[in-house]
Amino acid sequence: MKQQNYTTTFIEIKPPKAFVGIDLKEIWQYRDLLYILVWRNVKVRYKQTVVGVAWAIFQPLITMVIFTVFFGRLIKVPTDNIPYAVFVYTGLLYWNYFSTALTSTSDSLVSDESIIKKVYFPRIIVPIATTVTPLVDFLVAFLILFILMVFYRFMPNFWGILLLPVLMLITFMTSSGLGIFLASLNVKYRDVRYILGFFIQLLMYITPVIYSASIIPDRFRWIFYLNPMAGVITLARDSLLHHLSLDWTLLAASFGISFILILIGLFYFRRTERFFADVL
Amino acid sequence: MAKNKIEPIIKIENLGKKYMIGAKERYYSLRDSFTNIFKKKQSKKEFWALKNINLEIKKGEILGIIGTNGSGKSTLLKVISRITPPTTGRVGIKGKVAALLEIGTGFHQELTGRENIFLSAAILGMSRTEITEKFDQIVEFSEISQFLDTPVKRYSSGMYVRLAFSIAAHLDPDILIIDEVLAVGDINFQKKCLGRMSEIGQSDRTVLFVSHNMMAVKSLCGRAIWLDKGKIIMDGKAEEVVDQYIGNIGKNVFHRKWSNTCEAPQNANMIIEGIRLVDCKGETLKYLDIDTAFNVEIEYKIKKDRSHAGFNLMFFNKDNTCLLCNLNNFEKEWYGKPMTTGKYKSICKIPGQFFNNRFFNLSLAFFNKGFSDFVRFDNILKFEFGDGVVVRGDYLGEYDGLLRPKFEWETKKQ
Repeated sequence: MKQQNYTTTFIEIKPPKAFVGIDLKEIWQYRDLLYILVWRNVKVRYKQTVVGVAWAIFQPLITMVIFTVFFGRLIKVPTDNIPYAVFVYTGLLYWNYFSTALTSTSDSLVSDESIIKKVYFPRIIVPIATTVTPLVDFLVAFLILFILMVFYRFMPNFWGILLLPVLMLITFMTSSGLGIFLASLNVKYRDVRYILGFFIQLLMYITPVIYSASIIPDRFRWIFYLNPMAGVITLARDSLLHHLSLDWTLLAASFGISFILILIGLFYFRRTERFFADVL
Repeated sequence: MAKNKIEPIIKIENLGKKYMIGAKERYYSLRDSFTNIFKKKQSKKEFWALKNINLEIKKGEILGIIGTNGSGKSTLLKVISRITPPTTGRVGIKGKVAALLEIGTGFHQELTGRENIFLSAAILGMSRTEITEKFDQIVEFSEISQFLDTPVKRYSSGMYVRLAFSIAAHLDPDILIIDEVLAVGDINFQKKCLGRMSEIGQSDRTVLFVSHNMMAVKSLCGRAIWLDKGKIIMDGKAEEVVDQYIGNIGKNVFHRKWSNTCEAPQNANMIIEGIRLVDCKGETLKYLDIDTAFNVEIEYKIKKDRSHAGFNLMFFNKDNTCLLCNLNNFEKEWYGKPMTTGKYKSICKIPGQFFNNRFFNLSLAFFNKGFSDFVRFDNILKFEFGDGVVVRGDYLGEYDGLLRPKFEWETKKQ
């Protein structure tokens, strides 16, 4: 008989201590569950929308068209000679992932309460699986970016492409860090999700999605870049579109801040985790 | 005793679980929290769902856990299956635990039967290779192979339960924890499940089994514990514990007799000698369930010639709210007619499928002609209804309310 994956030889259940670290080994043991939850989220997402997978293509594309018409053509937002469509789409690519991941992760513990109340597994798997899920949309939207570049006869910077996974990692850490924090908060305070919608909308205006970061006066830049998404989108454009050399300081700062966010999220999560089943 | 030397597979020491209960909601809104800063803190009450539980379970044992609603059974299972942490004490477990606290854990309505097998099995703790290996067996056991690619939202409840149980039945843990999930599905499938359960029992697997179905506990479990208010009040052979429990459930008082005429409830004309809950054959009840009809039988003596005997039965719930009154003024034989001295017996027939599985207090009022000489005796009988199968149908959750009648439903396409 094949040994099962989750076999634990001895478990001791005790009243929880004030703080416990993340048990990475245990999460690794439950990787099949992580995989299946991502798979479920993707399946359900595409089954519930009428147009299915096409939605992942249409949503950023339509946003891009609207923004291009209003901000590119009518308001004429400066983009340093880059076609506005390509410019805004690069920003939207990351922003859409960020806002979708953050919103759904914040809601993840509540929407999966039925399994949290009935089965044991490391609870962190639920928000992580939810943050991973929109990566599928991201990849689809990413392919569209290249089609768009071909359409505009725009030559991207090859080194910029290599930077994309790193930027994705920062985006992932930011949205999962904030998301895990808010998900834990949402277990107790159910109005978090309504406040979040408003918060994300505001956040979009202080993130250079529709405009270029170059319009921000120099002395305010450091405040502006406290938002790791501002760093991510600027870096993506600089390296992929502007053919500029890499701003290592900005990359390190964005990475550092997103790392702090994920630490805060995990810390709060671990502190509240044990009572989820009682409160949900 | 050689058996005592086997190391326990589960060892529970001094286990306790405390909940805070207050006037507050379980979850709040941030808005409330901000406004509450300026309010005085509401006092919270402690409630120990489990207290001082000490228990050793040996490998291969099938342990039944019985007790009334709110006695801590489900909390105990949740602590052992690590869903909620204990407040005091510790539990040591050797081996892999699978908990079946509900039927269809993790099922998603939009997904097909096939997809849900993978999903639910993974959530219940199976690895992907294991699911692939057992997939065909699960499908075969469930008898729904032709609907495998239909979303489960289109399943009938019977099909849903079959699929859900089939997944559960193919888990392969060292310790299986089951909370009242068997009382579902059609009779044949239930039998199949029970068969599968006893197979599990013979395969040296440890099973913790919570059920309101006393027959199932008796036939499946070797040992049983009886929980009451978070404490183990009896631990022993399943049959003995179940018998004790049935005789004692919720401190039921199914019958009362007064031999001493001074203490007996009485008025100037009559004296109550005894009151009992009886089954259709006239035997005093041992167990009351919501499906079965029963009678309230009052035995009394008419002291004065030409008296009248009027009765009123009042059913109260735990909070002392009167649920209903019932007078004997429709009784044809004797009501409203003068009775000669001697012994009489009046019976009130109460249908099955009427009360919900709640605790009730019975008050008896009796009176002479024209409601004169009215005497009321409170808490004359107390009883708790056990859950039943008939009115429950395919719905597995709690039924709210004090009554659970089975009304007729009709649906027609317009």
